[in-house]
Amino acid sequence: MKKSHYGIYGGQYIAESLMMPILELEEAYDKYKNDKNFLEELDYYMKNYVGRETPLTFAKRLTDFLSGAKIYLKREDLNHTGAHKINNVLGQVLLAKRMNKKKLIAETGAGMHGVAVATAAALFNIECEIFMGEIDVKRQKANVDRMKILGAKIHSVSEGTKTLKDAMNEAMRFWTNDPKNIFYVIGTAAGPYPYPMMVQDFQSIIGKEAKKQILSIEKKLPNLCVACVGGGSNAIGLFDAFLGDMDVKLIGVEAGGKGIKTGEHAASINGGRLGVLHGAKTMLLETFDGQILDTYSISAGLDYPGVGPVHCYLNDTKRVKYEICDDAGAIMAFDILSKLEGIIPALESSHAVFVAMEKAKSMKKDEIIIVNLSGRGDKDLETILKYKSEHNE
Amino acid sequence: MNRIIDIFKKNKSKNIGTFVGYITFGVHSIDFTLKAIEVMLKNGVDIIELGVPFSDMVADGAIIRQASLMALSSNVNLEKIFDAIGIIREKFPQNPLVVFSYYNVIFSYGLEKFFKMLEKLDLDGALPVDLPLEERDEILSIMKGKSISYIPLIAPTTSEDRIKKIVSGVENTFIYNININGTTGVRDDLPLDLKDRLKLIKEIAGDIPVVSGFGIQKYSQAKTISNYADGYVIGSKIMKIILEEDEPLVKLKNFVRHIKFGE
Repeated sequence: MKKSHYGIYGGQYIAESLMMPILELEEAYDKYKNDKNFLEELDYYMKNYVGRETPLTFAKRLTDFLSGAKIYLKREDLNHTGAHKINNVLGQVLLAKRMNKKKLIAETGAGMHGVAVATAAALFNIECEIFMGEIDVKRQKANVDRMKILGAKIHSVSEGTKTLKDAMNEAMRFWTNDPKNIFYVIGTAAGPYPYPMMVQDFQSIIGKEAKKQILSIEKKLPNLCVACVGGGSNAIGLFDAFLGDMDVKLIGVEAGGKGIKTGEHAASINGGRLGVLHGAKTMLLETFDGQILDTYSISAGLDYPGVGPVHCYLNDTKRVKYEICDDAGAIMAFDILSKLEGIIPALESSHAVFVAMEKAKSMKKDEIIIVNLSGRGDKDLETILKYKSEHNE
Repeated sequence: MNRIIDIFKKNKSKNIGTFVGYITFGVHSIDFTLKAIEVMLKNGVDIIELGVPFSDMVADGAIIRQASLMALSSNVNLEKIFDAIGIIREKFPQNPLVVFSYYNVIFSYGLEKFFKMLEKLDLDGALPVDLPLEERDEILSIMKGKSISYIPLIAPTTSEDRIKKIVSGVENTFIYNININGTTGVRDDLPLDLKDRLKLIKEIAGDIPVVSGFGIQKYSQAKTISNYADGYVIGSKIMKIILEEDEPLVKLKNFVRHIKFGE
């Protein structure tokens, strides 16, 4: 297996125009990933700027309510900027600085990655342009305003699906204009190698901390870890530390939207076929002609037709099970967690909370589940209210 | 017989550049596309790049994307292209016809089946735009022994060492140099260092012909490139005429003749 591939997945399927910056990034990452100075600087910002480590919160009322396994929440929502995205962004931006790049660009769906990149751009005084689908610009207005306040320029992308996929297309095209000076900060574990590996490495701090924390609290490993999967960065971040612990079950939760049968969903592993998009061979939602389909999820951050290649590989090897939660399940979990724990989760993370709740019910009381609470739900309030008024709740 | 080798040889002996013309298959309609290809071939285009529509064209500018989405709205796919192209092959037995596609469309169709069809229809080459050196073995192994040419791309940022690697291991083909950093589109000016770049690529390529494309819209640009390379590619300007002009086939004819003969 080539190092750029995960089984049959991954690789560098990208136009020659972008191979120079990708090879350059590969070289730079190889050079710095074990560099003491680089890791110390990253660690400094993780502690003093992001606020790591994040707590592992025992969800007592939720656990009592379900009267099953103990549920712990890995609180990535408490990171500065409100989600796990900043872990990866700071890693990539510190790399961009060392590579003397003059401008950061990024795609964003829910806006959390965009906000994280705009934040890092302000912190390190680098120019920043964010690409966001027109639909997402509307449904995640608060994050658009945050990015603007932070000094980023926003490109609203009105082509195609007007969501994350087309934002990524436009970012890649923009990158081609000036590959020497632009650093493309990809927000998820997708894209051409080395992005999937790099994003996994930078996000693996989630699982590392969670493992240490649960061993200290419970003196044993969890029975199950659950995380939502769009591109899959928070999920691989949590899973990474547990991949070798075969007794720990791992579940990734894809967005079922209005249900797999309706075709309106974003579950690439459960409902897709093998293809090539945005630099990687991966499972895709596409037609039999290889045209990429419109996806749908109530959560903008999961609304993407592909998935990180590592997840396809972990699905094939059966190390991770990929399940589905639809819009209704996510909304239910959102409500329950808010009311029982006083934590308003992101709609993305609510998908994972829902599946964790379902599993907990049939597990023993001394068993343990860790859910990655990848982000906070402030950005989703408008979407939730709209959904409820449409469903007469 | 290899049409690609032959046409470059023929043009070289006449001391003229080989004109590669791109068209998005299915723009306006399949019938229109076939007519436009005829106009192009009758008036000076030597090689046709048959552009396969794709929903997510990361290397293309707005014009070609617009044409592609138009073709997709009438469900143009590889099967329909293969069904229609026979008539062009029959009418123009000397002109190379090469398929320009994003890799996912070919991959989805089935790699074995795709190259078998190319061979069966007597098409001449394939240019998968997002299949770089690192990944190309997965089609080169299937193309082995078939009379289909693999056309590699070189970008302004491709290092000298990398050009050598790209060029080695391909034969009976031509090399497509990208003039500019950016997506396909119409540009007023080409980079000043293009001549030096083309000289370098020609030197490395040896006997393999080199064409240069992206941004070309004028006779003078095509002429300049022909002084340093074996030919030039025009896509966006052709598609702009097809999409925007009232009498596109007449305007297309005039444009092609202008580029080829300076008319």
